Amino acid sequence: MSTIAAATTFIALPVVTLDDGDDVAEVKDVVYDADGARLIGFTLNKRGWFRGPMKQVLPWSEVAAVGRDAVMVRDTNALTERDDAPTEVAEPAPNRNVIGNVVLTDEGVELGTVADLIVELDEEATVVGYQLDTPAVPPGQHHHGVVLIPLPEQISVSGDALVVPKEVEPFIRDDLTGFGGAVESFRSQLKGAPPT
Amino acid sequence: LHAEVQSGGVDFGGVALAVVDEAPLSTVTNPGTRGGEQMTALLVVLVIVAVLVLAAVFLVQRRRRSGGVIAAPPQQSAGDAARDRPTGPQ
Repeated sequence: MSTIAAATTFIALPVVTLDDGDDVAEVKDVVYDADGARLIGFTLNKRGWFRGPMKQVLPWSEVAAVGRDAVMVRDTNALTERDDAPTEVAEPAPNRNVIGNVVLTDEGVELGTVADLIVELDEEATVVGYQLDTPAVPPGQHHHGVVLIPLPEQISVSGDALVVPKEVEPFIRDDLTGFGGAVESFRSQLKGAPPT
Repeated sequence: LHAEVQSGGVDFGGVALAVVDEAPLSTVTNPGTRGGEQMTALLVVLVIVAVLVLAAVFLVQRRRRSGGVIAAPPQQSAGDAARDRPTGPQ
C-alpha cells in the first residue's frame, strides 16, 4: 500500500539501522530526479547539533522504509561514500533547491511558489505533485492559499521557474483528499485518455 | 614615642608624621577598588566575546545543517554530450 507524504517532512528525520537500532545520521537534503519524477536519495548530517554534514550519502536504493518518524536502513553499510554513490546524490547542486521557485504553466500563468514536493511512497518514491503557496487573489477568481497540483511523469526544472502543462489547472486541489485520483486523471489526460 | 622619619616626613620634636607611601589617593582611601573594576570590565568583555562566538557558531552550524529539496540536473543525452565535447584540431 502506498502513502502520500511531503518531501520536506523527511528533512531532519533520523536514519536508523534495522539490525541494531542505531541512530546513525539525519536527513539533510532530499534529492529527486525531475526527469524521472522520483526521489533518488538523501544527503546526511551527523547526529548532534554541533556536528556538520556527513561524507556519506544515502541513495534511495539503500532505504528500507521511510516512516513518519525515521528513515530505516538495513545497517550502516547503507550509508554510501560519495565516490560510490550516483553523482546526483553525491554532489547535489544547492542552487537547485526548488522550494520557493515559481511555478508557471506553459502558457505563462503563474500558479504560485513551491512550498513542498508531494511524494507517493511505495517501492519507489514517486514525485506526484507540488504543494504551492498561491498568490493572494480574491476567492473565486483563482485557487488561493495552499494548493496541490499534480505533476506529469516528467517535470521540467531549470533556472528559477518550474513549468507545468496548462492542462493541470482543473486538477488543482486544496487538500490531499482525492489528490491521488487527480494525479491519475491528469496523467491519463496528458496521455490522451479521457479524464476519469 | 619614636618613629623613623621616612622620605617626605617632617620631624616635630620626636613625633614623626610620615608619608609612608606615595601611592595614589584612591588606592590609599579604598585599596582594591581599581583591581575590582578592572576584573569586572574584563569579565564583561569576556562574556560579550563568548556570546558573539556562540552566535557565530550557531549561525554557521544552522547554515551547514539546513537542508532542502534539490532537483538533480537533467541527465545529458549522448547527443548533448557529443555536442558539448570540445572539438578542434587533433
